[in-house]
Amino acid sequence: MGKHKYRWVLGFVLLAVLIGVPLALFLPGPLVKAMKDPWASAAKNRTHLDHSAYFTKPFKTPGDVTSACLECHPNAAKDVMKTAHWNWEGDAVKVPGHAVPVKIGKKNLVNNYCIGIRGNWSECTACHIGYGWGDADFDFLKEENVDCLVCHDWTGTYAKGEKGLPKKEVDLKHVAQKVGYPRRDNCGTCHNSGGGGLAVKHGDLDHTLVNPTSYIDVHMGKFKFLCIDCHKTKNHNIKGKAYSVSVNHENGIDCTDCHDASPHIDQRINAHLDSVACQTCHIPTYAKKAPTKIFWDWSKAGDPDRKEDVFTYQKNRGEFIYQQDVIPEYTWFNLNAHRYLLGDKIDPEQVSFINKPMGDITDNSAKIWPFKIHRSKQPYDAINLYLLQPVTSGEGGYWSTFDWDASLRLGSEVTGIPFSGQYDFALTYMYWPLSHMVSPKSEALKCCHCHGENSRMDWQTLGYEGDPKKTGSRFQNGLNRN
Amino acid sequence: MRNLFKLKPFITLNMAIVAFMFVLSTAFFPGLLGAAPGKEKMEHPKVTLLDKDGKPVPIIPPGKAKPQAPPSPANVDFDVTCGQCHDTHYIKAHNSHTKPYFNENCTVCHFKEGNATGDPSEVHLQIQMPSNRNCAACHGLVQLCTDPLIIPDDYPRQLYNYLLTQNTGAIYSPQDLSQSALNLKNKEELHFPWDAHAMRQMTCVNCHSAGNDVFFDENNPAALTHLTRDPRKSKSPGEILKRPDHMLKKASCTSCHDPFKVHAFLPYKKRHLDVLSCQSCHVPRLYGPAFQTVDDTVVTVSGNPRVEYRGVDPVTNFETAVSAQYTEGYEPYLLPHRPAPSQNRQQGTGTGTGTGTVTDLGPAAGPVKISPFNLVTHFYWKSKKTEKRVKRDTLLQVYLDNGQYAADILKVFDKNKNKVMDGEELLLDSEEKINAVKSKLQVLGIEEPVIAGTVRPYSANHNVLDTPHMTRGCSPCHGAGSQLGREIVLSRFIPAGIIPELSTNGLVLTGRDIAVDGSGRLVLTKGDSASGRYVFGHSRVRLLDLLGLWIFIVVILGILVHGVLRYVFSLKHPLHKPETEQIYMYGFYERLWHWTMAVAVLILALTGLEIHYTGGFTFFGLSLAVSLHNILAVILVLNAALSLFYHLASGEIRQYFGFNRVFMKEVVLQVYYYLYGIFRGHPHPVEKSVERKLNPLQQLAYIFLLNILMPFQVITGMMIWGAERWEFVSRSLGGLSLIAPIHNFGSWLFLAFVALHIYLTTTGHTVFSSIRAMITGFDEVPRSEALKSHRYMMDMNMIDLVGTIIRKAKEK
Repeated sequence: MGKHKYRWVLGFVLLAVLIGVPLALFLPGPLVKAMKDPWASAAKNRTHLDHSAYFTKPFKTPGDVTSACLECHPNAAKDVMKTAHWNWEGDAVKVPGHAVPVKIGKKNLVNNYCIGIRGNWSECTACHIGYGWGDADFDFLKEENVDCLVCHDWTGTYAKGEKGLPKKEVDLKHVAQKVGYPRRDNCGTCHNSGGGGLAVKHGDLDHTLVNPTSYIDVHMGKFKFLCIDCHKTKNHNIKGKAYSVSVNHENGIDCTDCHDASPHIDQRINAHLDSVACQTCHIPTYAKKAPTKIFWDWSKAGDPDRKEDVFTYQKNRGEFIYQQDVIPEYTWFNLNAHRYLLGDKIDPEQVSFINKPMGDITDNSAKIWPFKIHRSKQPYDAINLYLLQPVTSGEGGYWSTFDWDASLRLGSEVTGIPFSGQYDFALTYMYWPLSHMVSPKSEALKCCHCHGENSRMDWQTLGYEGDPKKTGSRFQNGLNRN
Repeated sequence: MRNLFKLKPFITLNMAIVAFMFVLSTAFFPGLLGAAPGKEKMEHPKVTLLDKDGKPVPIIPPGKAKPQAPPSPANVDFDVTCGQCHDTHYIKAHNSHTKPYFNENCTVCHFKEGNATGDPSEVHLQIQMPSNRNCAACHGLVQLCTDPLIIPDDYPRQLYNYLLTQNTGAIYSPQDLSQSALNLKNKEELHFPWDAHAMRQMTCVNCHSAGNDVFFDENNPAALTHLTRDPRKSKSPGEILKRPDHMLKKASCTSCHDPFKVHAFLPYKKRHLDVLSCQSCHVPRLYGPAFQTVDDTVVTVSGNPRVEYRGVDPVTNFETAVSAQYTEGYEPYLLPHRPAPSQNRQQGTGTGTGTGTVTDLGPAAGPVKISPFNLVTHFYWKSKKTEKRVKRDTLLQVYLDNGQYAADILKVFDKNKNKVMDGEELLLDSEEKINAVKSKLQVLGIEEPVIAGTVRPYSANHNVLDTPHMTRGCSPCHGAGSQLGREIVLSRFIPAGIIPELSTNGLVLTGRDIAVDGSGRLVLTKGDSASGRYVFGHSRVRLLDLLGLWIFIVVILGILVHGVLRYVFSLKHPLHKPETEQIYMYGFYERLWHWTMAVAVLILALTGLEIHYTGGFTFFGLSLAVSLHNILAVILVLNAALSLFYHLASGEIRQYFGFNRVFMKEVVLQVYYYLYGIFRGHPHPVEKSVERKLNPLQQLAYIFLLNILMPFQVITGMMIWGAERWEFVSRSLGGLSLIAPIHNFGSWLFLAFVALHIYLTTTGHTVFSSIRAMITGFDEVPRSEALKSHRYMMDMNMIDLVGTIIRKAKEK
């Protein structure tokens, strides 16, 4: 009797199994397949420690602040010194068209905005995360030269001036007491003012991202993301690659870091993902609120009689064109790019590319990406046929003398690129792939934007016979060989 | 001549030709041929324009154009011009767009909006397959990607230019509703396009195409069942170019979609697809302004009829732009429709369905399918004598005088004497008003003017919505909120109380009529819209429903009364408490199959109740309820089968079918016990033992339940489940309409049984001893000695027994 008394419990379990198992097996499953949850990779919480108690005495020099930080964070400076934010150059890479791998970065590259920093260190390094880089002999190994405050300041009062030193008015103790994880204004204080002004450079990255609406950027506006939520950082190694100074995607960021690879319910849209990047449809325009510079003609600089205006003409820079709510230009991109290095020959009759994206319709790993293309006319050596880097803000540079010859000579000395004495201005393009200013999904491009009458896509230039909706995809047409 | 110019399409042609001539004469710019990279190259070769005699038409070179010269459409004869390569006589004879609605030539459909370039001697025409804009010239609102959609000002007036939108509310546009310029409710949340096909860049001709395949499809498959296509009839590309068929095929969803490949979630897939047209679910809501009432008996100041739109708040100021009127959209009405037999292949249907679809040769009359419709009510004046409609121009003369209302009209209409025609006043709702207008019409020469009306249906086939907005779910048909057969409001107001004529146009509206409801609105009365099909949650046989419910309620009441009485009497007469012993009464398997059966029956009853009363109470939702019902049904049948095997193999079956010779007496005693003895605390008349677990009434009940009711429910249930795959079910026994109500009635009996069964378990030794026994297996039974007193009653014959009982009752 004793053993049998509780057999009913077994029976109950068996009953549950008899009913439950068929239900589990045969009840129809969810209509939509389970997808990767983007929030799974998102930062759940951020830690913040109030540093007020740690700093009680005023600091004499900015380096003292760094030393104080290093007392509790001893490895921080060493970690920072491994990064491109500090060195302004990366590890040696093989640049297409150049035999020997080189270390490239903002330190030694030219662009088609302010062109180059060499000789102009004092002004340009206001955006260096260090103190005192005023010439070629800056000590990159001295830990006290690291500027902790620019990224970690929460007061909003920290500002840097010449050679990256904090401005006189800054109360270092007050700033040190209020440090925390980097927020939008920390990154933005430099990155939003690239090119020497608001919203000049990137097109998709400007001061409107500090407090954006959902329409401007859905991650930052609607979901309150910080830069560091996508640009994840461990030991000061910040993920993310900028194609202004890099040629590959190592340590880069992908949308699929958080999002499912086939996130659309609509199969037809998912069928585009082999050839179209996420950004193409989800960033329908850039420079949504603040106009960005799209053309910079250096050759017009130096006219003292012209009226100056930040958006049209400045004597020391030349003539520009700004545009707002710009439709991107589209081309194939496989996340590698060419890079113009000083000394490379150009053909002044043709457009020269500072950083042409690699990839074409036959490349399986290439997709159609949206770009801001910045067009510029910048100085080149008319005899040697290569681009020149003038000294502009530096001593004796163009911005003080308005003398191209002199400033190009100075530039030649500091870069080591010979100057023949004859110069002219060549048209250059620089490609900026867009990943910021992602619109809410209701604003994403629809079929008619690319496949309709006023298409954004130039099918022939992309390599298609015609609109792929009619002629078929590149895979159907056997265009991809590798 | 007047007739020709009355029709807007002809004026459009006029304008097209004018534009064409204008462009020719003034524009002398290089062709757009392949100029811009990436743009479509124009393919049509150069064409010489000819007049009707075949002579080249002199082109006026630029600079010498006379802007004052009247357009002369007769100059260029396109039949002759295009006839240089294409057999225009053949094309005209094989064209769905025919007189009298359409009297056009090639240009209206095939020119790129009248664009033309070229030098004086030859002309490069931008000739192409008809684009959406070409169709829109007559058929209605079509929109490109970017410009916010707006309803043109002449929308209420132009009854032939916006047919698609006016008759159904559909707008063929790829744009999101949220980007339109219309006054839509919750517009900022409507992030989906007007039409999914438009969004995906389908043009009108992608669906409404003519049959010019190189491989000829048999268009009457019923005639030759062994062939789907006859390759001998295939035309070479040259033959097609010369004699292209212009009979637009009936647009069919299945020419691109295979509904059986999707709809995995849908039970009864084939039945649904047989009964419902695709549009029933996929055109759930139309947001454009669809006509509800067009009152052509009156005229607004701007010369329009008084129009009310479905889903749009009615306005009192009729000059309000349609785009500004607050729109919620409406759900089209699901009505059964039998497509009309197709006409002669030479003609279109011209039935005024207004959507322009035309059937080609097909079966005589299709099956009845439920489709979504809009119903438009149209009131107008006509002459009783000549049966001709009074033209709007005439009506304008009656009502208006120099752009204002005529003084005599205003005097009669202006009820509140504020010298202005207010919204609600513009309605012929009094004898005075009617007579005023009538007399003026008679003055203008209309003989015997009377008001007439028609109600016409228009099927909604466009504005197929995209995932996830696309379907209406189950509730429009299944359940308490079912639309099928509901009363439909046709018009909020009725001029002169006239009941319009219903032009069914293929709608199957048996038993439904146009009537006026309590609040003076014109309605289509209720009726059966399911065309005889049984719709779960909506159809029911009231009689069986009520009978079953009544039986159930009676049982519940009986239980309540019995239980209360037992309690009351137990206070007076303490329960008979014999000595008891614990016996292992019910084996493990016995209990297992019992409870499996119990759980299955309960869930089946619950889900069945929800299926029957979908929407009335929601536990699982219809879809989940059906799935659960099916799965549990299988579990129940398997359980029953295994248990039958067990009973047969172990011999336990004799518990049910063992009838001793005193069985009937035992029945009587048992009944006596339940109706009397139990209150008095008598012992059970038949002792319970392992050999005999069931009292005689139980035996009878279970035999009925397990051998009649249960198989009955199972079989009818299986037939319902198999109605889709087993044709004979639908055809025989009256189909689901008979089987389902019977199944439902059986379930009421089952429910009644369950209630009674649970109650009767309390009649054991203690209130819970029986149920505890069925869980643990151990039961308390009185020792055999206690029942000795009843043994001698068993040995009596029936008559004596009854007599004894009566005597004993009298004694007490």
